[in-house]
Amino acid sequence: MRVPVPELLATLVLGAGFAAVGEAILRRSARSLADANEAMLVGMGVCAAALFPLTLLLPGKALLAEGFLLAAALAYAAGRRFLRKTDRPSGRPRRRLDPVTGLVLGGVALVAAGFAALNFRYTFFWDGMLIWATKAQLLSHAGSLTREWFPGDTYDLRHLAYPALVPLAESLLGLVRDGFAFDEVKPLFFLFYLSLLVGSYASVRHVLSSRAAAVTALLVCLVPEISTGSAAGGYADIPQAAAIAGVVAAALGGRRDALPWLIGTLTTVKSEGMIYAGVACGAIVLYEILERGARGLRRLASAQSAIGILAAFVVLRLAYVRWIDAPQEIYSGSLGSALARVPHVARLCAAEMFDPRHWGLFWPAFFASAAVLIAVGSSRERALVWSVAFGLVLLAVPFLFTTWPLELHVSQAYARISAQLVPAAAASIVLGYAKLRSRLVLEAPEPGDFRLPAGGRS
Amino acid sequence: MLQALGALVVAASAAVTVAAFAGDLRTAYAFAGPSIFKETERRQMAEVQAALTEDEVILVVARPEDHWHARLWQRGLYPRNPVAILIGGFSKESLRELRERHGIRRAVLIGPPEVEPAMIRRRELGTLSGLPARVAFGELAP
Repeated sequence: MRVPVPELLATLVLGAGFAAVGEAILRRSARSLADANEAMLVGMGVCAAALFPLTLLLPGKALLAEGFLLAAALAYAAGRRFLRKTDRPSGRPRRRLDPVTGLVLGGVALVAAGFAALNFRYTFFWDGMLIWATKAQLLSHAGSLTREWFPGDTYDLRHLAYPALVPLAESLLGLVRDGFAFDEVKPLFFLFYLSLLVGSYASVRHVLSSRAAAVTALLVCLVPEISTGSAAGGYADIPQAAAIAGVVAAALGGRRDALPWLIGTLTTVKSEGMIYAGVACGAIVLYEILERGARGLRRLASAQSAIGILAAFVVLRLAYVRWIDAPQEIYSGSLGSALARVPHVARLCAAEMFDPRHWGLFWPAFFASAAVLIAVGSSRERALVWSVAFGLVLLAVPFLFTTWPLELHVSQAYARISAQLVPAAAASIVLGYAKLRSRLVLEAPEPGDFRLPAGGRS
Repeated sequence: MLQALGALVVAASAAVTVAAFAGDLRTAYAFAGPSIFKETERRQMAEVQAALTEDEVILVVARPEDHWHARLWQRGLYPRNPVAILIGGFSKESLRELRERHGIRRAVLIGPPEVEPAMIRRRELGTLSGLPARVAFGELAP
């Protein structure tokens, strides 16, 4: 296996640039890997959303403007760290990991190495090449978003309306290197994969022990749809899953300043990101109702800045889709015919989800944990499992309207897109396990077991 | 009991992932190369581009089973030469309309395609890399 060192270094610089933009937005410096990942996701989302207005303001120069923005943010962050001692990584004493946690994290590293071996070796798969990298090629050539696809091709015009985060990152990598090349952007997906693992770990670490967090990351990477196949073929599902992991980490960690930006980032990765953003907002509303009743709703209504941030992302996304105005030929049909398809689609999707050859026992474990958390979990945990369950249902809805052969469409897409919810589902599994264990085991938990960290919430 | 169930979930995940990795690593290291464009395709594309003027739009006609390769040609020749694609059967009218709209004078045929547009000069470029499908390039009849 050739390790693409120059491309990996360029990817690292790009990730640092996005993190610097995120730090500037959140007005705080990252003090841990989880912080840096959160800032990177925020920076990516904002840059991707900003590409459309920049395209209108600076036709042909939007990509370059984004490059300058990243470089300036990076220089600012580096300068601030250099000048201010207080921004250096905190002097908290590093706690040693217990052997079991070390072993689990070793397993995570091994699977990540396996993903890297595939990602660096595989060239692009179908959507990775013909949608995402092609959008990056067009963006690199035009210098900004474009309404032009290839001559005479009306069916694939719809790809133009897909969100910009992945093509933007691929194009910026070309800007850092010596121009866009299909063969040089794959290492970027290793960054997204690491982001997914860090976000998954951070989500549970906010509320449980490092061992529980490590098991969460292990459960995530041990899903074949996450670590093999199209995930290593340059599809945008891993970036979308990484954004979801970031949202879950911020929600479970109570990071209110980052949460609206991260939910906004969901809308910039794939079209279904709008569904996830809606589900995330629904989960927040549910949490407030469960936690505070009507007072919670009033509290939400007073969070004008968060609502404004989310509205800006949604408006930009809708305006972009309207600007592209591409014909939609894949989904059509009446509500009546869609409703008639419900049992068939439900059966097909359930068959995909519960196929042990692809998922092992992942989804049965999620539903078992969901039952536990709905019965005895905290408001936050209930909101989490309801949002995963609701997300799984909503992801099946487009199949009710598909013009493709139904079985083919479901078998090609449902397992892959439902894998985007894996970080949230894995966190639910571990939280449910910990909750059940704390109920069943009356004696004091063993050292290093799934217990709450000091100051943690359940 | 609970620990055993937890271990079972992790073990089941590990088993399916090991199986998935085994298949993927075998495929990746047996078939994937360093580039999405194989050497043969690069040579064929270079040969075609040498005959085209800059920004000249070219047509690629292919069978449905060669869809992927037609799209690869489209991406491989861009941005110097935009590529219009016709897959499977097509009418004379749709070909004429496409040619008139984009000023297309030359075409690459992959397959051979189900319907071949008439050509006045034609050069064989060999087969697709590792596949029996043949690639030809030439000037379309007026």
